[in-house]
Amino acid sequence: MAIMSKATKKYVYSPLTAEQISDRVGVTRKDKALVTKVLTDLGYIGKKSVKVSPPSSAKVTKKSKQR
Amino acid sequence: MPDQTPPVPQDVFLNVPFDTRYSGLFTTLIGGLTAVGLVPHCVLEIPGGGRNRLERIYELIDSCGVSLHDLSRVTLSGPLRVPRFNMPFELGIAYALTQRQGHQFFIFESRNHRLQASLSDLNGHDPHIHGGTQDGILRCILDCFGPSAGAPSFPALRSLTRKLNRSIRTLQLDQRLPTPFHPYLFRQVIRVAAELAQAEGLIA
Repeated sequence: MAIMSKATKKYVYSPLTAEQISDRVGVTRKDKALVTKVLTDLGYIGKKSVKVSPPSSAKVTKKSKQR
Repeated sequence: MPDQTPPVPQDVFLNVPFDTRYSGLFTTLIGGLTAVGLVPHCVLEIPGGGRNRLERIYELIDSCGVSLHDLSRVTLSGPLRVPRFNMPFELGIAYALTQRQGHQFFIFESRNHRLQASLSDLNGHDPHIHGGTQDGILRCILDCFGPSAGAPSFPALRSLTRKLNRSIRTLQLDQRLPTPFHPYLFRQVIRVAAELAQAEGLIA
């Protein structure tokens, strides 16, 4: 819920996240890929790392943690 | 018939001139608003022509919690040298919505006191003066909008705008677009601004 602060006449609201903002204007996957490439080429963002899940043998189970 | 879904507080309708001289201010507006966690919208999202264009513009303004109207272009334009009434007309729609529901609007101008001459019905509504500069636009945004999580600093917005402008030049060059006033470039500009704002820690 947004309100107008009487003292400052500012429009007060809860800010959205980058993903929520993109979703609300219909940013496509193609747009995202293009933008990420441009920003990476210009050096404004780092190369996005691909998340690699650890091998199953390396997972710490609750049981092994207790030992 | 327009639907009755409540307006989204973070959605901002931009009623601004789409001319080449305004392109830098337009992208600054998008950058600044995105960096404070708002979602810019404008008529570029509405396909041109069609009988129900006005209705769709109304619905877009109606769906936004707030609107921003830059009335700094009061010149004659086009081959017929006539004033264009679209922008004051859309401000009228926004004004009507403030009377009916919780819509809010802000008026931007580049010069002091001119609005009193160009639209005297709005006396009592003080415009925010940006002086026709990108810094002025950013100051107006900080004056008007107060994110509950706290507003970013002016230097942070300025730095983001510099990077945003450079990125947009690259996007325009790659896609051979002379201005940023294109539906898909509009989306991309918002995405650039959102990614930069996130990278700078201004939004989540």
